[in-house]
Amino acid sequence: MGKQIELPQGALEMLILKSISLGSLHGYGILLRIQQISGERLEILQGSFYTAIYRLERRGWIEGEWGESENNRRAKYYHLTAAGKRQLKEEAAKWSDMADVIAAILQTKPEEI
Amino acid sequence: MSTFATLRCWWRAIAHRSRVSREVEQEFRFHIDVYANDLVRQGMPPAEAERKARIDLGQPDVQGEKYRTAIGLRAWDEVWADLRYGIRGLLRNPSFATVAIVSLALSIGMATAMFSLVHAVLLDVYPYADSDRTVNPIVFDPAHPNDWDWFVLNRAQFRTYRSSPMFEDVLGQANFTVQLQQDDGESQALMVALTANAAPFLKVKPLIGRGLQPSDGDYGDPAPNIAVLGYRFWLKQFGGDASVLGRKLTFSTGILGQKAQPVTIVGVMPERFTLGGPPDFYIPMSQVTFPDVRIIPFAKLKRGVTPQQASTAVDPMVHEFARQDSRMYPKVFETRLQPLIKGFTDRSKFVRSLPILFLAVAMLLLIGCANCSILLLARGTARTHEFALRAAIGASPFRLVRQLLVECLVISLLGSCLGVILSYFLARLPLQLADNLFPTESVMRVDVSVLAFSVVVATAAGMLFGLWPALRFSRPQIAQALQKSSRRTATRSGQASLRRLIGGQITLTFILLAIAGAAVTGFIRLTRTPLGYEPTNTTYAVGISPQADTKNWADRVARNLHMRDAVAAIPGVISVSTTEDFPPGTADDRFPPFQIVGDPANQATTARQSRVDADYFSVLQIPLVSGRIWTEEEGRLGLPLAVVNQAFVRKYSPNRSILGRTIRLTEIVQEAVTYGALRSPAFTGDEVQVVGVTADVVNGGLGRPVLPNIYINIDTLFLGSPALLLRTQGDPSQYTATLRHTLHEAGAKYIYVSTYSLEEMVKRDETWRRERLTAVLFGIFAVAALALALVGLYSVVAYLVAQRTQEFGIRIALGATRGNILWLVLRGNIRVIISGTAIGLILSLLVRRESERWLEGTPQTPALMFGAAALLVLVAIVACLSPAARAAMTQPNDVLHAE
Repeated sequence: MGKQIELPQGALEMLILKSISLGSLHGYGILLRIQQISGERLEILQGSFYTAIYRLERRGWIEGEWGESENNRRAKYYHLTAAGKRQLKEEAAKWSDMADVIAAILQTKPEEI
Repeated sequence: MSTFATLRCWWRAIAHRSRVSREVEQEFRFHIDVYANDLVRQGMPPAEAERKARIDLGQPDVQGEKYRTAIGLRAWDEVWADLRYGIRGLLRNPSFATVAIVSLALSIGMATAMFSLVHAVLLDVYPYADSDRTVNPIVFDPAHPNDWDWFVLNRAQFRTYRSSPMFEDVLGQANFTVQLQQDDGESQALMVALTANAAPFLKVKPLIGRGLQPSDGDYGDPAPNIAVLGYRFWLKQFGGDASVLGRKLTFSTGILGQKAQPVTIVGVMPERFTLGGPPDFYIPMSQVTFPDVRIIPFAKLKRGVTPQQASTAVDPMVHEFARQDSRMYPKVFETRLQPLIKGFTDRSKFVRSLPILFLAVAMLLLIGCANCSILLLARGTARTHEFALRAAIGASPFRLVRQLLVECLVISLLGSCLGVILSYFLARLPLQLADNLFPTESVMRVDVSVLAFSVVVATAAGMLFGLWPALRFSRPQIAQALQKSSRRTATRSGQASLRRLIGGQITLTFILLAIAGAAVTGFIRLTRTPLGYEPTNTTYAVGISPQADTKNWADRVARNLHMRDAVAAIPGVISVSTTEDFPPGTADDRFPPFQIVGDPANQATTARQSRVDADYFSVLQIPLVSGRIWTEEEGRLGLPLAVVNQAFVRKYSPNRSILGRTIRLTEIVQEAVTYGALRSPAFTGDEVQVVGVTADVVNGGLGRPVLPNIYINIDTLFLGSPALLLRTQGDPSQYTATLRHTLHEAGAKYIYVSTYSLEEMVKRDETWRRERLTAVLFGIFAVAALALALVGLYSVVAYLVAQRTQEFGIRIALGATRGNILWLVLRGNIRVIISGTAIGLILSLLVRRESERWLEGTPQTPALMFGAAALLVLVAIVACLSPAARAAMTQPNDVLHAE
């Protein structure tokens, strides 16, 4: 594993939303997908992971459905709801705006101030 | 959107609790297994992979709880657990729970009943639209503004009144007593005619069928010959049968002109619609063809017009009416328009005592809540050990307080629910005991706002009284409490606050006891007051002949005699009197002046002046004190003779015999002449001669002093229509049909037979009813207060004794006698009882005069108060005795072994 990044507040939720926006996944699948996309640079605490899932479900942004897994076991697959899609769009826009602003500030050279 | 999702999520988690947690666990297990599989695939031995997965992820069986915390149900779960724990605790100690709940239920029940009563008879009594700006006109003498009277209008006056620009609309009502013909003979009924605008004016929907409607017409319009029944009549006469619509009513009366047509029943009005009575049925004004109808006007003020403005505006109009026909108006008067409810509140002494009833109910509520507080305190003291333990294993003060408050909430809610049910029955009591003290529209009904208000107030009061003990116990001295065994001496401060509460309860109970004692003795005194006459088996009837027959005095005398003789001939009628007056009278305070000839002229000599015949005194069995009563012969000749009562003699002729003296009755004679009274040829002046003195008879209403009274030979002049007062063998009500028939045969066109005997009239007297109601209400309050206070006292003593069992065991082991222990327990309590009673006694004595003013007819004598104090102290000590005796019976062996 490479360098690990700790996730800021609210980011985990957004990552979960993003990971299932490509297709429904069960909890472990989401975890793997996030790690895979991030190039194993994110370490997600397994304990807080489900808390985030439950919260998203409570808000009605994701919905779980029971289905068959690869190894023929019952698993709960999550997919985005309409509200979840909207939320993801908003959050993503917010995050990239913020990232731009912060990056711009950090890239400012002393003589530009 | 999000809120809705949250609620759905919570609902699922609460309603399908086990399924949801099973699913959460299943999902989590799957996660662990897949993770472990991956680890195995990466080369870890299966057992170690399983172990690592569990370490990384956690236990699947607590995942359900994590789920509930994540979705925000933790507080709910905790309160729910508190609730279940609380209920289990209450069930484990059912006597405590029962006493607390019953205490609250009793006091809340009475308070809610009081709210409901006031709501039903005062705040929301009329079902009529805009009843707050509907006014009745009254006239009053400016010198006596509280002594007002209603007046009625004739058709022309009504039209004039109706046209006033102050009014949005005016409704006219005319009352008639009619003879209803039925299969089983005739009966008397009250009929009310309403003008055509009744429906839009009152806006009350009929219960079944239709109400009166504008198309039914006013005077002069074609008569549809219909009737709408009043609710009570419908129940009484037709048993509430809905198929009554379309049936016919046949009645006769001299008032409606030619023989009345049968009318068809088209509807029934609801229970609270009792305008004008409660009447038996309503007809449209178009069916009243009698020209000289008397109309009572109800006016709806235009919006923005105050009653004062309108009064000023109609005053000249009413003075003009008085010039046309002055009979109903005082010589000097002003007109006032007053809201409907004023007609009730102004004249009701019960309304005047409402504040003190409310005060009593508030005291009762305090006693009930204090009981709850006492029990919680006592129980909390017993649970000190438990609280310390909970605090020691990590419960915050907040959680302890919450636990106690949840228990308290359970008690309060159960108490208020029971109380509300109880109030449903209690609130009916006043209307059952004294229906004639309230407006006829008063119908006790379940009102959501009253219920909500009471439950909120009651629960809040219960919680408030529970909060205090809860705060006390929320910070237990852990080390101290856990070191001690659970049974030790109670803390001093805990005992002190318990005693203060008990003392307060006893003070309030005493105040209620004193008032109740006064109310009960007042009522008993009233029922024992000699009336001076014999009301049993006595009743009255009125029969009026057509006016044309009685234009002349001799005819009138003959007709009255004929009527009287016909009634006297009925088998079972013992004696009959023709009279314009009979007891117990009403509480008037203005009487016409008179002058004893030969005494210095004095304006202040006034007396009741009643016209009766010679038989009046024998029918009512009023003894003659001196002189004689005029003979029947003298009476028939219309000789100006009179007798007076003893009160008259005491006040106006104490030192000189009144017999043979002459009294000048200028005012009533003048009045009679003005109204075209028929005078006897022998009564040309305005003087009557006193020939006798009779014993005093209650004549100004029950419970009031006997007023000076002059009884004048009725045949001297006729003004109104005299009544026939008769004494019968057995219950007079069995003669009703015969009486009506006889009067009809004797030529009477208008017949009224009293529904009540004179004996019943005494019991329907307003003072009698009010004093009985007050006595019953305060009796109930006092008994409830006493019971609550005693139960509270008993529980406290029992708890404290239970706490100190060990101490008593040691004391006995060390040589204390049983008597010592008994005294040890009783000593402190007796002090509390006596000081509580003493404070109550002092307070009661201080406000005694005030309270007598609020509650008329309740003599609050010091003797009564000391009696009540002795009673209270005695029963309170008795309440302590049984737990104290149990303490004294402590077996030292048992207690010390138990350690």
